[in-house]
Amino acid sequence: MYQYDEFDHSLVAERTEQFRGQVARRLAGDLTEDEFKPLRLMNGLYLQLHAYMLRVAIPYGTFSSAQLRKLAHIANKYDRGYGHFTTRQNIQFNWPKLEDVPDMLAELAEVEMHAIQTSGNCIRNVTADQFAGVIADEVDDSRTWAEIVRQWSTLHPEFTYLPRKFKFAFSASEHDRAAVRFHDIGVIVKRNVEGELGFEIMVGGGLGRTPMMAKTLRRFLPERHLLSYIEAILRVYNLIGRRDNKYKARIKILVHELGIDELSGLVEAEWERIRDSDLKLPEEEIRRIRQHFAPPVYEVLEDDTPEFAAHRFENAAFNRWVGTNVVTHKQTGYAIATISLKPVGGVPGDVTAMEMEAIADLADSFSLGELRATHEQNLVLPHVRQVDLYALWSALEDMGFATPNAGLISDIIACPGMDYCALATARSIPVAQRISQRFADLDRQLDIGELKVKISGCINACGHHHVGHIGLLGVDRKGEEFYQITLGGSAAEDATVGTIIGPAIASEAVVDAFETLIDVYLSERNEGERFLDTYRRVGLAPFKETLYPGKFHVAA
Amino acid sequence: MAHVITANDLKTGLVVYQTDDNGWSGSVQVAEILTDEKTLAGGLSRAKAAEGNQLVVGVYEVEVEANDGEVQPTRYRERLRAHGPSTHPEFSRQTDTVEAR
Repeated sequence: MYQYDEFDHSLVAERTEQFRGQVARRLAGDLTEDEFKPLRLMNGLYLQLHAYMLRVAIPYGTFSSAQLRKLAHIANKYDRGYGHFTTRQNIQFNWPKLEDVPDMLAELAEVEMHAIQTSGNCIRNVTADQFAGVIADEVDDSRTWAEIVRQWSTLHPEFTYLPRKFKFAFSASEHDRAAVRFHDIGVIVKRNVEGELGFEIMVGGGLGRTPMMAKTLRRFLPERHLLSYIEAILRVYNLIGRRDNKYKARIKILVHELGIDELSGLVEAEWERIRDSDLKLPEEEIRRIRQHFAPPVYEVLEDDTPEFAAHRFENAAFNRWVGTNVVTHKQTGYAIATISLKPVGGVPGDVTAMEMEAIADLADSFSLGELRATHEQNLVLPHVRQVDLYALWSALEDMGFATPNAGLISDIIACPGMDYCALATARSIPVAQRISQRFADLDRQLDIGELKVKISGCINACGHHHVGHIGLLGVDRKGEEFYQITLGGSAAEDATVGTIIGPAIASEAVVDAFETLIDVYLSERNEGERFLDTYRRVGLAPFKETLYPGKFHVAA
Repeated sequence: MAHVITANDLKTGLVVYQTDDNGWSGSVQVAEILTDEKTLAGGLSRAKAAEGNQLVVGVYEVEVEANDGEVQPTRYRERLRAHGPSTHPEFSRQTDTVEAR
C-alpha cells in the first residue's frame, strides 16, 4: 500500500488546521454560509437533507484494517455508529456536527486519510479496478498510475476551480470493473505491439442528466507522458469548458460540442508545449511509486487442495458463496473474496461501526491487513489463502455478510436518495430493499444470473441507473414517488447507455413491474444468456409489450 | 395554506423549525404555524435575521397541513425531513432530540 511521505503528511495536517480555523470563524459568525460553503466543500463537507455529511476518500479503493478501524471509531465517536460506502470508492458519514469535523479530519490524518477534493469543482478521488494488483488478467497494477495522478491532482493550483467536477478512473484489464468509460477521463493501462507499457486515454464519459460514453482521445500514450498529456487535457478544458451553465460544464459537453477530433487537435497543441517539461515522469519516480504497490510476500501454496474441495463438496452454502463472491487470484493458492454489503433487505453500502471492526479483524486474519472498496458498494479482501476461505466464510456468515450475491440481482447499487440527499427527487434505498426482499431466494437469484441493478434518486445519477442492465430513476410526479425504468445499460467493457422503457411507474407498483421484466427475460432467454444478452438480442419490444399491455403499438 | 419555516441548525446541521418565541426546534409539531401571507412574510423575515445571526442555514417555508392536531408537511420530501430517513427508524425525529434554542 502507498505510505504517506513527509510532504503528504504535512499537506494533510496543514489543510486540517486551515479548516479548523475556517470552522471556528464560521461558528463565531465571521464567515457567512456563502463564504464558508466553497471552503467546506473543498474539505468534503456537505449540508444534506437532515444534517452535515462528510465524504472521505479511499484513493483507488485500497485501504488497510487500521484505516477501517479508524473509520469505525469515527462513526462511533462523532457520528451515529455507521458509515456508507459510495459508488466512487468513498465513505460517507451522515450525521457529523460542524464543530467536530476538524477533529474528525485530524483523526483521519493519523491514518493517512482525508476528505480533500471529495467535493467541489476540482479533480475528485481517483478510482480504480478494485482487483488491481491481484487479478490475473491485468497488464499492470493500475494503482501505481492512479497514485501518480492522485499526487499530481492534489491541491493542483491550476485545477482548483475547474468549470465543473472532474473524475478519473483506471483499469488495466480487458474486463472493466471501474466504469472507466463513464468518467471524465478513463485510463486503460495497456501494452503496445512492442510490449511497452502505456495508456489508452478516453475522455468525456459521464452519467447525470446527459449520459455519454467516453471517446478515445489517444490509443496509446507512453507511460512517461501520462501527466503532461492529462495536464494538457485539463488545461484545454479549464480554458474553454463552459462556465455559463452548470449543466453543460462537464468535459463530456465539450467533447460533444467540439467533436473528439477538434478537441484532440487542441490537446495535442498544448501537449507539444509541455510534454518535455518537468511533468515528464522520471523512471526512478515511477519505480518509487511502484514499490509502494509491490505484491506482499505470499506463501507457496497449491490451488484446489483436497481440504478446500472437501469443504465445497460438504457445504452447499459455502460452495455457492465461492461460486459468486470469490475470484481467482494471480498468485497460486490465493483468492480474492468479495464481502457483500447487500444482505437481503439491507441498505446497500451501509456498515455499522461494530461491523467495520469485525471486518478489519477479518482483514488482519485472512488478507494481510488489506481491503478494497468497490464502486458497486461492496468490500473486498484481496489476499485470502484459498485454504482460509472456509474459515472466512464462516465468520462472515455469523456477521450476516456472507450473502452469495456478487453480480446477482440483489447486488444493487443505490445512491442515498431522498432518505439523505438534498438533491434527490425520490428515495432509492427502500426500492433496493424491496427488490432484494422480493428476490431473496438464492436459487432464484442464481437462476436469473448476472444482473446489474442500479438505482438513482435523481437525474444526477449517482446510482448509475443509465448503465444498469436494469436501471431505476426516482422522479417526483405531482408530489408522489415514481420510478422510470431503463433497460440494457452497461458500465463494463461492453458499455452502453440504457433505454427508457416507458412512462414512470408508481412506487407501490415498481417492484411488480421489475419482476415482470425478469419474467419476460426468463421466458425469452436462450441457454447461457445473461439478462443483458437477451435484451440485446430481442430488443425493448417484448419487455415493453408485457409491462404496458395494450398501451403501445410496437412494430413487428 | 398553512406554512412553517425550516432551516438547518448551523452547529449540528440538523433540521429545525422556527417556533413562535423566535426559537428553533427539531420538531415540526411545535413549529409556529403561519396561516396567511402576512404572517408568513413576517416569519420569514425573522428567520432570515436568525440566518444573518449565524444560528441557522438555508431558511425557507414549508407547506403543512394539520390532521387531528398533528402537523404534517404536504410534500414527501419535507415529510422525510421532518421525520428522518425512512430506512433508519431509530434516527426518526420522534426519538431524536434536538436542543431548541
